[in-house]
Amino acid sequence: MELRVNGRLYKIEVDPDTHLLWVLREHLRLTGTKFGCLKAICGSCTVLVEGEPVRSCSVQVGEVFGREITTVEGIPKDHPVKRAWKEVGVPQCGYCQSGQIVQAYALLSKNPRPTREEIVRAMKGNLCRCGTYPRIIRAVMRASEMMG
Amino acid sequence: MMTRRDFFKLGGLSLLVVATPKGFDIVKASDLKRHSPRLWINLSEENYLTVLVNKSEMGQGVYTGIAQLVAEELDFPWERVRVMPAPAGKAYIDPYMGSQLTGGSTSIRHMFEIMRSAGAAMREMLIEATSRLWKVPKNRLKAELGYVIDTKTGKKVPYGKVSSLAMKLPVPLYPKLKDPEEFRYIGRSLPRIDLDEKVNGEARFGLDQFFEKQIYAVIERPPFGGRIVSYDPSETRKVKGITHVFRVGKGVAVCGDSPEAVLEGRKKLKIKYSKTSVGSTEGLKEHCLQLLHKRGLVARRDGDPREEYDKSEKRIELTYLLPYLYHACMEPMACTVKIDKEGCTIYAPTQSQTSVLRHARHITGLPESRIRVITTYLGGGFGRKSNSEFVAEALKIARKTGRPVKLFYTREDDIQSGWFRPMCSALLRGSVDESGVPSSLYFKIAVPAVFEWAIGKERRGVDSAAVSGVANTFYEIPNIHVEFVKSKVKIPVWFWRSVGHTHNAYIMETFLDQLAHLGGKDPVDLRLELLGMHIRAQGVIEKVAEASGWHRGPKEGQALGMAYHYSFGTHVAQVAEVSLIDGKVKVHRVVCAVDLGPFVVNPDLVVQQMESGIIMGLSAFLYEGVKFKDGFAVNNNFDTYPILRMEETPEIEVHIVRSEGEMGGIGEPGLPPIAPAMANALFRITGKPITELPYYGL
Ligand code: FES
Ligand code: FES
Repeated sequence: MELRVNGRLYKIEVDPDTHLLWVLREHLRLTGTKFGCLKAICGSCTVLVEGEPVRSCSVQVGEVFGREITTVEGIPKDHPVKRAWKEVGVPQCGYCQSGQIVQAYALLSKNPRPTREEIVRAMKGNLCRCGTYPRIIRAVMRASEMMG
Repeated sequence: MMTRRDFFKLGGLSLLVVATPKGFDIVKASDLKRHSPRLWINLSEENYLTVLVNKSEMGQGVYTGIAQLVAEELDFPWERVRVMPAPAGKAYIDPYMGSQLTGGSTSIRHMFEIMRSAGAAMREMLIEATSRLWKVPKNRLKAELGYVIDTKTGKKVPYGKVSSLAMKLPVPLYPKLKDPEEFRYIGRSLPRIDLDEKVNGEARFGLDQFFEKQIYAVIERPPFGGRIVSYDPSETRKVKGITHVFRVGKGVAVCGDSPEAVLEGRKKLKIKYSKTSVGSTEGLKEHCLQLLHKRGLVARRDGDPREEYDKSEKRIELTYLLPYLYHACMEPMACTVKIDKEGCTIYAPTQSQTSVLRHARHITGLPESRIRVITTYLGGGFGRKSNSEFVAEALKIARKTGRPVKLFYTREDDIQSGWFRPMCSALLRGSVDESGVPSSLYFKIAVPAVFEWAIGKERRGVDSAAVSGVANTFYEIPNIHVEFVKSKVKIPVWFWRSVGHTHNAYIMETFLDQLAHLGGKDPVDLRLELLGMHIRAQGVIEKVAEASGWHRGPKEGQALGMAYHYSFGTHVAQVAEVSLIDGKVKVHRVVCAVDLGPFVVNPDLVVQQMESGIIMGLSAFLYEGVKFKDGFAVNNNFDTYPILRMEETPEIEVHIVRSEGEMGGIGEPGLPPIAPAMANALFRITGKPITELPYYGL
């Protein structure tokens, strides 16, 4: 079976009902994707499937064969989202940040000029125990500015 | 991050820190008899500085802060500084703690002089080496941003070029530290050193390591206060990929070759549990309140609060009940371990390398020299990860199966593993005199002894966590009584960010507002009055009052609440701007003033920690509390144990107040004041004191 992740084609042998999270992390060793609940309630495992944010802990890999998957590793290092994240100094422990960055990237791809409310609406499903929320909002706004 | 092997390959100048009975010494790596891993800082010939940090990075920014200290005194370009976690071992203990532990908001305080001295020693050695090389007097040379410079001719050489030469010189006994006016990094918000890794998904946590032939493991646990009587693994074994099922510790380990297999297999276990002594939430609450009728141990007594209370006309009595709190690190407990002929390798997100080593020695029987502990990044710690039980479990599984093990807790497992902030109850009595000033305070708390759980055996006397922040309160009240009743409930408790200060600040600061109300005093003015000579405490209160517009009063439809607390050497005051609409709390803004003394190594990291503490404290105030049924935690994932989300997060404004005096910590002190500040604001709206948490009910 073939999986397209971050523009690369991977041949893998797994049960199609294996959750995408584990395939990414444990088979492809793309460990940037994390888990915090395994029940689609924390957002730590967020990745993109054809540009749409999904919770990889709750998506079976069989559903996404042949579709384009993007993880935090696949977002360019100089992308405004990552640059803004650094400039604002968002991460603390960092564990939730992959999910946050992927979610923010998805938002900005669709809506490059989000209002504060739109940011909160898009991001509120991503939990952060370290409390980086105020900075996430600032960083999304900053990224939006950088994208011009 | 560099690997340990890279570190050993480094040439140049390597210094290390040795704990001594008087504190510490700095010596050269070559002065040790054999090639030793005890290198703390290295300056390579290529002119890179590497700092081995003996403290765990759990979000608080300690890698950055410690690196700043060394780079400051060495006077070295920040872009050429790297950090790596120190291995576990006696060589890396915090000399002031006697162990390798990150906790108590002490890292920068304890390492401040040590790491600066190491950097300063290096700098002096580089100057000395250059002076010999160029045959110019030392006082003509200066070391600046990675170069030794001849001030007369302008000739310069990168540190790295003279580092090997410097390695041949003796280490100065008393390296001269910079004057604070000369600081280029201390006091500056340098970007965190872990930013790149953390935005690119490259930071490694407990489960991000791979070994040949590794297996995965999860553990099914018994109820609190009970045990697993028997289990039937036959259905589990039929699940594809399951390799082992056996008892480990109090639980049953299910191992297999994929995470999905072990999760599936675990579901099929048939387990018989014993009865539990813990029972359910209602019973726990009642028991906790009952304890207040027992006689406890007196932690402090000034004057005669009972007599004063009895004769006062204006007096108040309140009973508090606060719940078990769960740390909820975003990264549930997880680690990766391997035991083989060579020894034992442990990748663990731990706050306590010393306890990891102790477990490893005990379980594997190996000497310390063959146990390699790699501290990964911690996906949150908050005190929870100073308990290394999870590493012990992984090691037992590895030993039994002979395979490298990736042990992970699911969110549900993480909660059922316990080690909570304890539930507590408290009886408060207080009175005010004719002028409205508090004349007596009686504080009796019933709570488990956290330090007993931490050391694993019974202890006599007052548990210091139980009365912290109260027995040593700065408020000058003539008659004070502080008493501790020990709860012996069998739910494991542990350090939860700011430990006893979480409950005690809440109780004290809300009760104080009740006394202010009773005496017709403004809460800010009353605190300033009670704080007599404590100018640092008064400083943060005055600052927060000014910045929040306290004396102008709240905006239309809002109320202001304030609280102050001193913990871990740091003074913090906060004001919350709150409204209540249809029973729903809205926090508009929190203003925070913090005084951690004369040195603020990285102001933005201080702000970050204040934001973090406020959000976590607010979360606990509104929502958090573990519920139990028959000894099991029933609200065991984020759907039933909610933590604060972005839409409820207020605007946060932090002011750093500088002062002379002792240096304070920063990871914890931001948390305690927010809950009482919230309750005090809500009291002004509803007129009802909030004596039970969480606000929205258990
Ligand atoms: S792990 Fe997937 S949403 Fe929490
Ligand atoms: S940065 Fe730690 S959970 Fe978000």
